[in-house]
Amino acid sequence: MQFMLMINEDESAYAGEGGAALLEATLAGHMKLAEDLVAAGVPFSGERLKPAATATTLRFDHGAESLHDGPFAETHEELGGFYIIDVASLDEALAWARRIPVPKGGIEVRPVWPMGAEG
Amino acid sequence: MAARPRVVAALAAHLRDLDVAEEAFAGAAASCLALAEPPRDVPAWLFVAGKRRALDALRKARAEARTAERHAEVAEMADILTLPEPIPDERLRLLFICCHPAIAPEARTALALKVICGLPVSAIARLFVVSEATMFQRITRAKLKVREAGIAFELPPRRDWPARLEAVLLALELAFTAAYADAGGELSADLGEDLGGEVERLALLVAELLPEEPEALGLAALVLLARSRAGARVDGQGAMVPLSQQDCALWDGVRIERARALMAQAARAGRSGPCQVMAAIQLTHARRAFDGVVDWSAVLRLYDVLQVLRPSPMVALSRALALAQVEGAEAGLAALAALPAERLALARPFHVARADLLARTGQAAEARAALDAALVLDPPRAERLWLEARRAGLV
Repeated sequence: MQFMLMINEDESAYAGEGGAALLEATLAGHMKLAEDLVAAGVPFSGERLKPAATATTLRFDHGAESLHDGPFAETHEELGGFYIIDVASLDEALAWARRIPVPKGGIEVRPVWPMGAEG
Repeated sequence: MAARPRVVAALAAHLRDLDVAEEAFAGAAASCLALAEPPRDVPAWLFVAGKRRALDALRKARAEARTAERHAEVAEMADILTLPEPIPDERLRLLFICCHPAIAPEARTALALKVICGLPVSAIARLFVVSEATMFQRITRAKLKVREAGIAFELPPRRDWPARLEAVLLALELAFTAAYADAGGELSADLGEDLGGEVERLALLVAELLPEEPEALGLAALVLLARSRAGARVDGQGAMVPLSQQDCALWDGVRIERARALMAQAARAGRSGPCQVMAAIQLTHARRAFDGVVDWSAVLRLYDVLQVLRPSPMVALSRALALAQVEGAEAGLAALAALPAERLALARPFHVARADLLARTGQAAEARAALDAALVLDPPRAERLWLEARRAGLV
């Protein structure tokens, strides 16, 4: 089954002193992870997102629409990227999620709703 | 149905859905009772009948969706026709699935009790001191998580066992508490099975699989020690006999010896824990069979340790009773007075303990009132008979 691994991380970790080096190390970690996923034969996709400051949010309230500058939720940790992987179980998904380099933050693991399945 | 845990576990492992397995079992059990003649092998009959019911329902749903897989059906029918088939023992696998770390901690144990031991939601709610509605919601949510989150219906790899062990042990401990509180066997009669025996079997199995985990050994020892007293807990009239008054000649020496060996093995790991301490307390009581007396100061010291490892009002209550044996009933009453009375208002042991200590300090009227408070809380029959006899004896 497919799982989405949502990387919520503290962007500020990459700013300031040592930030550039940390970013470089993190990106290298992502490259390595992608190689490992390929080597393990796990079908996957994924993207890195631009910082939360670049986000625009549309909000709806029963027909009324409004546009906001900024991400959907104001938190210390922002959605910075995601993977979608196809593995057999939650435990396998968690094992891959553990290998995503995240200096500070968390990864939400969620099953993707299978298309065509009812209920 | 004595076969419940085993059949439900096998159905769940086969059907990969807890709800479907429980419903299939309930349906099969109802048909079994309606049979003119009971089947020769009841568990095998229930397993096959339950599987067939679930697959029928599944097939119907599939047919409605017009995606019936004919080949699969044929294979499944062939499966059903080979009767009787051995039932795989999946209880341990199911226990570990229910205790997956992705399930909310407060729901894991409850889910295991519901699915594996078949405890009614009302009984589980009592064990966790929450309302039945809250517990029902908790279990429903946990089942949904198992079904939808992609939790594998497999025994996890060995390296993942320790992370789940705590919840597994807690589930067994609580199931055991429910079984043990039921001296007269009412709950077991309702469930149609020997809950205590089932918990003992599972606890020994976990201990055997994880001999390097001292807490698993401690729990098995604890269950064995409590079970060793099964023959002494109820008198000829069906009334409960409290531990201190039990005839230790009626205790099962083989279980006590086995528990002692498990504890010695646990001690070698050099890591103490609540199960080991609770087992040590029970072993101290069991020593009365050899020494003729109970070393209450040892019991008190062990409760001091337990209060640090796992503080709770019930532990504090037991400690107060041990203190009363060492320093006198007045000291015990003072310790009881320091407990959160409103939190313990619905706990029978609290009122029973107060009654005991009040009687020993000559306050008969107050002791009677405390026994009345316990009797109002709907004790099982064996306990009620004992409490009524005590009340009648207070003058």
